[in-house]
Amino acid sequence: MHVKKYWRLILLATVIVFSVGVYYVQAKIAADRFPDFAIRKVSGDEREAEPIYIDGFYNEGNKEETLWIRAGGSEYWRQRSYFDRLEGGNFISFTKHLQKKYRNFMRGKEENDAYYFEDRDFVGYAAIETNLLRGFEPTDFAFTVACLDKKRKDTVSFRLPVPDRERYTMVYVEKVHVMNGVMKVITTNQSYNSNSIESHVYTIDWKRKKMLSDETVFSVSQKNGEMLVYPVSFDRTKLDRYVVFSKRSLEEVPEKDGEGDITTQEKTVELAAYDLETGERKKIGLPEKNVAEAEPALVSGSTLYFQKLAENGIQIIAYDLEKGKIISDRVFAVPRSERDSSLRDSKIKLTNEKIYVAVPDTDAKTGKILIGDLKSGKTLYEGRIAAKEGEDLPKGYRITLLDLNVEGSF
Amino acid sequence: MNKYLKLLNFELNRFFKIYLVLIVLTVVLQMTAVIVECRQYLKQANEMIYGMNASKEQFLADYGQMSFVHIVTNGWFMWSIAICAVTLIIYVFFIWYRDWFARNTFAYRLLTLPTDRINVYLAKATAIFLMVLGLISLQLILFPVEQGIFRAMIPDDFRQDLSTADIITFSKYLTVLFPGTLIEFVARYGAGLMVVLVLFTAILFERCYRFRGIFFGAGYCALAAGIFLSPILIEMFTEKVYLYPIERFFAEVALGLFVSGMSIFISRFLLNYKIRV
Amino acid sequence: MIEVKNIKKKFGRKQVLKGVSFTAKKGEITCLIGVNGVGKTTILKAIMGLTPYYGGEILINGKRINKAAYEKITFIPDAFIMPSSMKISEAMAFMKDFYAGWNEERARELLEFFRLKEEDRIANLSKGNVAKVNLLLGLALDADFVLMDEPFSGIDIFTREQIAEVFTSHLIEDRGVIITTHEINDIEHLIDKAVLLDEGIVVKEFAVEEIREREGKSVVDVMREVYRP
Repeated sequence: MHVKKYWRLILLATVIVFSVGVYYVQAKIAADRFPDFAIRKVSGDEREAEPIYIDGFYNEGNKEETLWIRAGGSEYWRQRSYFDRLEGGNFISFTKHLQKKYRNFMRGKEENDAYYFEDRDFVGYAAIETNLLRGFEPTDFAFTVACLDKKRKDTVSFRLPVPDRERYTMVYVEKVHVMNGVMKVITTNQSYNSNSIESHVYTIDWKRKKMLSDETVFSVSQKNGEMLVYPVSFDRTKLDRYVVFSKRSLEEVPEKDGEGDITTQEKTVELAAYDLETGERKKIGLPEKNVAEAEPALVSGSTLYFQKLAENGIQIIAYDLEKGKIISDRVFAVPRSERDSSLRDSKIKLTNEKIYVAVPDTDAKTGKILIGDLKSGKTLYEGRIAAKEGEDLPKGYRITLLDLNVEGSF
Repeated sequence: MNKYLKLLNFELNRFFKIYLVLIVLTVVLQMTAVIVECRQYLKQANEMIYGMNASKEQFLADYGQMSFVHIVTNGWFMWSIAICAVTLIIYVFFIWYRDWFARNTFAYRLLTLPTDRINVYLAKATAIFLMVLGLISLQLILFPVEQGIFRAMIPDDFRQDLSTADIITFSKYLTVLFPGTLIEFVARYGAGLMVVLVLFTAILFERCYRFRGIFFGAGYCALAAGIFLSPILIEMFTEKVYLYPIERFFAEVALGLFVSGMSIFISRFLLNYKIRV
Repeated sequence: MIEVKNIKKKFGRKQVLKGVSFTAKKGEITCLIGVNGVGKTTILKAIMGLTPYYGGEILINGKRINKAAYEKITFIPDAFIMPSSMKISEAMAFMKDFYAGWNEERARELLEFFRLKEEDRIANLSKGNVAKVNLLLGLALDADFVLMDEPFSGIDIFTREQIAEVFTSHLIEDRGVIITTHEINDIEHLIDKAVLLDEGIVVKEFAVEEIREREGKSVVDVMREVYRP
């Protein structure tokens, strides 16, 4: 080829390939230059920390990036490949786990862990699917129900209107449970005219595609101050028979030593246990005043755990639903130093009979991890979130802990 | 192949003067942006520190450090990019119409060259594509130069040094031109090439059927958009997200290739049998 | 041989060509004659594949037009067809670049004959000189057929003489030429065959020599018979 004649073309092509190539190589190098954080053991069994997944945020001046910290190291958004990024940020969710196992059944279903159920035989799904074009139409509320029979590889899928749907402005699906040939769908509904919030349990015969019943567990009016009703968290993998509904009041109180600052204080007013197997409902009177101030945090088997911030750690109160009494009241001590910030910023996760706590330090450069056994009250693991040794740390960097997840439990 | 390269080279040479003007304009506007932004920041610092006796720390607490992101969001800088973008968009049309409506009807010659006529179409498309990427490369080369000036003008303590990738990410709008990963870059500019091929086909519809052709061309653009966006449109109308993100990506790649192939096929037909000079 | 068989063409609702047929042989100068707007230029464009037609077909040496044929047939339209920013030398280089049949020697000869300067920009040329460059670029190709659209219109008398001279020279000799005109006088003595067009059809196709010898008529005489009933 005549180089002289084509010099513009050759020059242009060379410059393009070279500059774009160099840029993306440099971008990769720059992405890898973010400091690597890890969770380091202080005491206990380091295997306990392996399933921890901390969602966080790194910033340095106006440079900021989402990151995930695990025991072995961290990963930043920018370090992920394009195809990984496509999967979104929440990659250890229950939905993602089901998508991997039942790719076709999960196709076209909304991504929200609350809408799914899985046991040995079935995968269940119930959702109020959002209408992208029209938005919500109050009279439109309908459950989209689907059930996969794992053994027969059989899928049932249908739509069922929400009973009395014209009464509601919002219907949130909170939990789905398949048992004894029926599907129980637990929802929180906002009613249209009386400005009240209700907890419902819908029973659906998914084989005959019929609504069997609609029970209202709690109904609170917002007229006498702010009230909340919601089902207490549970372990999705455990398939427990009890669902506990909590009714709580929100009160605005002036801060003790603040300058007129107002904080909201939540109080548990009433609890109700719903037995998914028998359909029995049992109201639970609140045992003691100090329990009322604690937050109902997890139902596990027949135990309801309350959590509350204490002076030197996290207080966990275990309440037996069947016996109707408190069976233990313990404080999981978080080791503290003068650098510590308030425990209020800590991320707490109760799951799998364990408590996981991540506490950021005041300087927002490091943090602490605590893992405790809920049953025995023993501390299983203590660790620190910190940049790996030998990392070249820039001045003024900060990490923010946003969420704590435990892989394998949802 | 050989004639295609000759045509491509010819098209590039034809645009070269305007291209040089664009390059010079970009350099001048962006250098202006660097100097204007830096001076403004330094003026503020001087007024605070010398005029109002504030300490350096106090100034930094109020105004923060200067970063290159301030420069790329400056009006002069954004104008340079806008001018290049608009010029090239206009040239997508001009590259064809100049051969019919300039003082001399070069289309007579181009269409009677002893080569497949589709080579003319492909050469014009490639020329546009290379000119776009050329300006993208110019920007990538200019960044380090401009950062050098920025570092020379602003003292260390007042400056936050960022990598080019950081600057692009934090500017928000530059990520449109320089996406985060190479795969996205290839996908985005590939889609851009597809759009050029579709527009060329629409232009050829107009050149073949004149007034009626405008409607055919617009219809063709709508059809191409409909096919390319069909996975998203189907999801919008059925209100269900059927495809996983990775599947949607590959579906779009396949549809993009299909639309490009269809445009080339139709244009080949129009050029061979329907064109009017 | 160029065979035009029954081609039809509409512009909007107006049927311009209603089935035109004629042939043009190598070594002959065939002249398409008709008033302005009769579709002479359209026929040349149709032969070159620059405008669609329907009905029949056009064959060049027995084949439909294709990319190889563009080495064998060249079109010299009324308008100039190279970008006006080019110099004559650049236009020549372009042709040399794309056509295997470019004859540089003949191009130089024509350049000299027309007294054109290579370094002149096309934008600055007079209408007459533009016509000359057009002719130069067309005739410097080793093509079997040359189509010329109104080569004598709108140019000065001296240029016309020069161009007419080309027709009788070795530059044309054994090629086939199709030429259009609405003004027959200048070239009557040059042409071998006349094709008279009217109302979208060929009203008469005849060999000039033959009709002169047999019936003692000139082309203009025949035109009078045909166009003035």
